[in-house]
Amino acid sequence: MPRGAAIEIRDLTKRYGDVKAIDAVSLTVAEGEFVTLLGLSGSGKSTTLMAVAGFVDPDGGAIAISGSDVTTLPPEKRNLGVVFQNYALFPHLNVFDNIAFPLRMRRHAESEIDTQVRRVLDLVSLRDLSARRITELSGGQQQRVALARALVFSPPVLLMDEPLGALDRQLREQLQIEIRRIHRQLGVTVLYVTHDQEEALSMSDRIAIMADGRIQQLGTPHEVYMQPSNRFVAGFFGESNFLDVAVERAGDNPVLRPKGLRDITLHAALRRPLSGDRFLAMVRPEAIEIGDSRDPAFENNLPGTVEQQDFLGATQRLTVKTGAGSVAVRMSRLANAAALPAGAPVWLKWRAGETAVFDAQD
Amino acid sequence: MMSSPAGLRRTTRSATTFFLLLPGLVVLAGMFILPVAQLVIDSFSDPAGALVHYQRIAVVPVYLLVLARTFLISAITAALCLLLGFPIAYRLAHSGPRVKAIILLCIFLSFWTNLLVRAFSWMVLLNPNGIFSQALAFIGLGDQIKLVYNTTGVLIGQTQILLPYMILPLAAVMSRVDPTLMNAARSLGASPTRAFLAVYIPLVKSGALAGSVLVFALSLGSFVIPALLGGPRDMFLAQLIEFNINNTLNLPFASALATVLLAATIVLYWIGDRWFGLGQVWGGR
Repeated sequence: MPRGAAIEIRDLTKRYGDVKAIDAVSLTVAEGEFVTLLGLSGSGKSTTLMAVAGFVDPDGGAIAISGSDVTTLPPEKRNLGVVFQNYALFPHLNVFDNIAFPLRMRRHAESEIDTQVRRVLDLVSLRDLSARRITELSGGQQQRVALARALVFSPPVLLMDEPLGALDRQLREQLQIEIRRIHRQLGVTVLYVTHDQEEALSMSDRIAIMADGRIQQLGTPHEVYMQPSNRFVAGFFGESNFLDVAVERAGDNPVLRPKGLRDITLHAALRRPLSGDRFLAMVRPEAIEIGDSRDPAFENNLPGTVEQQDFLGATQRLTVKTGAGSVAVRMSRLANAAALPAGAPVWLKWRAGETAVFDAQD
Repeated sequence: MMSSPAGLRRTTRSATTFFLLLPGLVVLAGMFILPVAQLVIDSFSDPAGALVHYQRIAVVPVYLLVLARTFLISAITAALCLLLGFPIAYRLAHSGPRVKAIILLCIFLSFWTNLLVRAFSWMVLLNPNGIFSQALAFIGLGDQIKLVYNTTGVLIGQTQILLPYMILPLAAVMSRVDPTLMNAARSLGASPTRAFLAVYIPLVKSGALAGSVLVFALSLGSFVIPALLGGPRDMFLAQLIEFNINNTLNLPFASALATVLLAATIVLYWIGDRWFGLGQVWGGR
């Protein structure tokens, strides 16, 4: 099995009428890397993937695989494994013949086909189902057949378009783990499309968050979660608290002053220069701890009163009213929430590294 | 006794279905099934012996010849309809709503025009002074090719009349083919031609067979087109039946010929349903 190949997407643009489905998208995926395009429907993530696969003819830009330009190459000449949203298995062929299809198209000998099909059937744990009809398979089994068929000819790149979208949650989590195992085992480069943020966070080496045909942010799961570059990205990954702030001192460790509070300053660890005049500070609900007084061990301290408590199963959420607005705090189920009834005065405290700052206009 | 509400509802619903179908069933039984049964019985009720008419069909060469020609021309008609209908059905199944509407309009305009009107129109168009013959004469083929009152005329007329019966079931099957299957085939290394042959054709085969069986069976019973556009050698079985009713007044023998036609059609539909899933194509189960 060859190692994965690098994918290089440069200034890719596709228009449908007046609408730019993708607008100057650039992205480099390293050999063997797992990169996810994450976004809502209409964000351009599938269009980008289908352009790499060769099914969308871009209006501008270029796509290179292993350094060679494939922008105008037809799909069958690109040698990429593609897993489609609804699997696209051939209903007139059984499991074996579906998986053998790409090898037959490449005119391999039947004995070689047999060996390769058995190899990938083992890889996706479907050894005993090779004679089954497609219609006799469950959704999860169909998904495995689609994966096996896309891998049997040892492509250096695997493209997956919402491959788990049609499955129920439990099966989805199980297959996420399997896809990651197969990725590690084969070293194939994966470009993965999903709208599910948890899926993206748990599977990817890097995530490209897309909206309006552009990449909003590209980074590791930690980066995009902890240091989102704008409000859209922050909002994409679960709950977040936004505070209107003015920047009192710019630089690497900026000092922020929440609007409406005179004697409180907040601190953030920042990797980007700040520009503009209105800013938002963001902190995740689970990054905040509750205390009964100002705590010098934390860079950020904010007083407030408890407004509401919600029990959510694994966690509980506290809504705290502060001078800078309502702040949600997520605590472990084991935290003693009974000591924090509505109206109780509390101090919220969190680390500078948990605070992201971005231009409110973005 | 166990009687669930769901079971009760099902019984009520099937009773309602039965009563709604009843008038149609009565009409069908009284005006179609009974007369056809009578016809079949008549064909076997000659005082000289039950099979005397069938022996005559088997022994006198002209009857088998007409039967063979009816089958042959019907088979060629089905093949021509498949050849011409396939691309049209493909467009109908895979185009946007505008193109789809235009194609359907063309099909139904021809469908809604009276059969006799269409037959006479073909006579006008195809006769030696018509535009097609003139066009052939213009390129120097006018004397060699006769377009009407021969097998060519029958085939042109039959194909045009029966084409919709090919296009509609074929397009129905084609529109059920998921277009991403073709993309999947391409991504797996198939050229457009190979994807078409290895994936598309196998998936629409049942529709092509359904259309072919339908056109063939309908063609077997044709009367107007062969009578008006064919020559004396192109007599169809239906013309022979008509001749025995109106000219020789041999009703039992006409019944026997009709029974042969009926049996051939039933066998055809049965084969189509048993082996090629015709029932599924037409929406049954």
